[in-house]
Amino acid sequence: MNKLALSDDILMRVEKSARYIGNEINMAKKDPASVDLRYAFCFPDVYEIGMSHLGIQILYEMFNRRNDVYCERVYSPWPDLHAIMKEQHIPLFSLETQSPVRDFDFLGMTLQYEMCYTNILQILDLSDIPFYSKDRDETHPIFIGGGPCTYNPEPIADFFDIIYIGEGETRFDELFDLYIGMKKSGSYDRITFLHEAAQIEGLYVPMFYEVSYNPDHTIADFHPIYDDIPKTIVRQIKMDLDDSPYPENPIIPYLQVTQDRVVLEIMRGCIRGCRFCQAGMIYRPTRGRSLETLKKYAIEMLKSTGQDEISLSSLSSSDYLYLNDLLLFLIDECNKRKVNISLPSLRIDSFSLDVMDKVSDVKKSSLTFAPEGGSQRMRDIINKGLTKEDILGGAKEAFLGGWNKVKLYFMLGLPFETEEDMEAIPDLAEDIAMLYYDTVPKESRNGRCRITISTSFFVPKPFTPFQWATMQPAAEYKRRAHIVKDRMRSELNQKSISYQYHEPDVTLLEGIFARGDRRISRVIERAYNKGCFFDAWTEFFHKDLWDEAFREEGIDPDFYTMRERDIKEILPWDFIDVGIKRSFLEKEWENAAKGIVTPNCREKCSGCGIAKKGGGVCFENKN
Amino acid sequence: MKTRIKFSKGGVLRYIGHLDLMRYFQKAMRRADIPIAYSEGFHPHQRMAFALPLGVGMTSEGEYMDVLLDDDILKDSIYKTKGSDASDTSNGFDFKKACEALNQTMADGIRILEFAPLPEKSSKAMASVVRASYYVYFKKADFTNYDKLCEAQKSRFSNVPSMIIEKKTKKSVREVDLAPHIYEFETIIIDDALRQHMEKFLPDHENNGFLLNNGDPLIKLSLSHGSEENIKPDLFLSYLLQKDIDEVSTSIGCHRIELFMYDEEGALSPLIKNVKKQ
Repeated sequence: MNKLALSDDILMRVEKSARYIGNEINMAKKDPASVDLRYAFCFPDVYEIGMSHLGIQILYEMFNRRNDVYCERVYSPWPDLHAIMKEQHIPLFSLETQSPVRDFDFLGMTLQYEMCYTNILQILDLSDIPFYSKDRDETHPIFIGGGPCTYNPEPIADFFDIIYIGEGETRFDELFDLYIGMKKSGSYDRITFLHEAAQIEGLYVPMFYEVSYNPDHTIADFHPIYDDIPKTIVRQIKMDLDDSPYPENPIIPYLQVTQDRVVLEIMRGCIRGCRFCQAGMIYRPTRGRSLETLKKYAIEMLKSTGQDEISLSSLSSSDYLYLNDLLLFLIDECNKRKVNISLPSLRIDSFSLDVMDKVSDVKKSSLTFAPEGGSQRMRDIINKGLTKEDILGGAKEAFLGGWNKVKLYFMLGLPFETEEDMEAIPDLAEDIAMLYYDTVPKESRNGRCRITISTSFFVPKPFTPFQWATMQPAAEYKRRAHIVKDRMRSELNQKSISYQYHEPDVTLLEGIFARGDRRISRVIERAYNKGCFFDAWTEFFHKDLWDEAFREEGIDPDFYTMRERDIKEILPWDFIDVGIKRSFLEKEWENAAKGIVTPNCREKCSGCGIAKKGGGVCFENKN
Repeated sequence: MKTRIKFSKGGVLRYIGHLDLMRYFQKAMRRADIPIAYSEGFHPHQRMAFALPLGVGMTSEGEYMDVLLDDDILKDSIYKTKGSDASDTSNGFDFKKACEALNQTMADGIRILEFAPLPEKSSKAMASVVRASYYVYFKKADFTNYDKLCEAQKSRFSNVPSMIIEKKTKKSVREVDLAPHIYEFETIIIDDALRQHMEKFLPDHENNGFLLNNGDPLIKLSLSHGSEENIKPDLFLSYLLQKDIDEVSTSIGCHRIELFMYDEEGALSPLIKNVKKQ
């Protein structure tokens, strides 16, 4: 591939032109004329971020194993190139064949965080594809979305032709076969195809569903306009991860990307059931890959890429059943190959400390705890099964092992939070500092211990027990951060403690997108037209433009953020069945209010409803 | 064992920067299982060093890097040669096979041209470079032409005792005299052979409208490089054509032909000394 979409003149002018040239090692090469379906897979952010996403790599591998499909990649051009493309009317292009996105059969997009929503429109805009599904015709690619954000697809539903609810390994073959079959038989037209697609389990075609609202803007009714398409969309699950495609020859970027290493996905789902955590709910049931499969992938991927680092990917990695065996195997193999192991955050105990000791430079690394709540009361409310004793016990062992840096992550603005809960955050840091000075004798100390507190503001997410919770005004978030800060300044060991917090403006917008309804898409369009994109990047976030956009659309942002929802209210995402029952979430919301802890899936089944899918942790000891 | 690799870089990979190229080669060494030596310490890195960075956008058929092989790892390596006699200078390492393996795993645009042992007492590639030769072509038709170049050569180069120009670096601005640093300067008219040669490195030149067709002017330059003085082609052309260096930089393209050092006898030689092929 020697002809690039961009001229030399442009490539020499923009920052990091290697973002746009493709041609990486292990890139899929096919003749587009020899396939029946061309798929452009987009991550709507800059190359270095998009290339770090494992999900696309898995599906890229799976799609390209088919001889009749050619899957290529597309990322958001950085603002410098964006301006040039707009000015010179250069159409957005794929990296592999450097051809216009507009010419593809499908444009797929994964939505991993809400703050990329304006970049959806950037991609469509540069590709010369209309923003709204209703405005497209046979000449446009089918625009399909997926990823965690689409578990509430409504704020962006009008932009997409299809939204895929669930894990990509399950239904794409069926969808591709349908498309290719219709094309070959000559029976293809866009609406008929979408109507057929809407009958595939897990596929949501927004244009075939209607919403009506009550006078107070809550949803009155949501229903399909045809009888032969489902009322609820059922999330698709790949239960046997060993029997699923994995990118054993992943693409090796030239640029240093965010995740510049071999990534082993060891497990999906999480047994913990923290009440704020969407991933812990929507990826149930917990399923691991087998030890043998992972060993094979690790060796194969290190060989095929020549990468010098490997990392493990999952939620709560300490809960992976064969973690110890896997780590011991990797330590051995990686030492031989001079490869680093980048450890996931592990529960601190003697095994993990021993592993950390073996794989990292002790003096440099720091220990990470994510108690999320400062007080035991708050940790019970959020169902974070971590006690003060666990934290202090782990810290003590680490201090004795030579560590002296600790990072602590918390959330502010959680439901039922009181000032005592906020003050408990620096108090916990103080206890850890005291423990250091009590545990490590003066002569063996390497200076002060350094404890870093980070807080983020909590955003309620769909399909969590906190999906009904209210958020707080920006001023209130700032007040809470100041309570933490002031308290920290009064601690005896304040010189050993530092505190960082994020600004609340982005948090509130994220909260609107997370639980928004279909009316939000117009605000996103308006904000994009005013120049908002790359909102996830602080330097490009313009709160004033967003405020204008809401005002001009006559939409009150507080409707989405500043109220607790009634249990009886129809939520925009209620038509999606993620596998766990609404009644389970309601019960968990009640338990949170009472501070009642729910045991994790391995201790005791709490009957969330996912067991009916017939696999994973629910059946671990039942064979 | 000290070894040196010569490689070419062209095509779309000319947009890969120096640091990214280093990371690219580190991974390639692992993929090809080259028994490269590692530094000591907690984060061992490969003992690999480049002779002279190549700017983004430039192509080359004369890039070099030094690679230190680990003799212990070599013993058990797939590149260990079977019987080695006394006249064998390759220390039991199959350079040909290693070169082929590396080329197997190269991206389109980078080729390993030579892989050779170095005498133990050789100095590093980076310290050895004294001179670099280039072809300079033009990207913009209205920038200059053959006649103007010949005229400039006559008035500003031939029999001129000194060629003073301001050289800006990140830290300072100073005047340099280019005269002692220009070893070769020739304006050539591109013919079939030269066009085909350049097309190997710039297969997309037509799409970009570069002046690389028969009859277009091409400048061959040989300039000081290395620790003493670094003269880049755009600085010389800026002097020659009396144009702002930024305008020159965006209007010309550079292709590096070769890097030179002084060998043990003090003679000018490419960074891998020509040896009699058996």
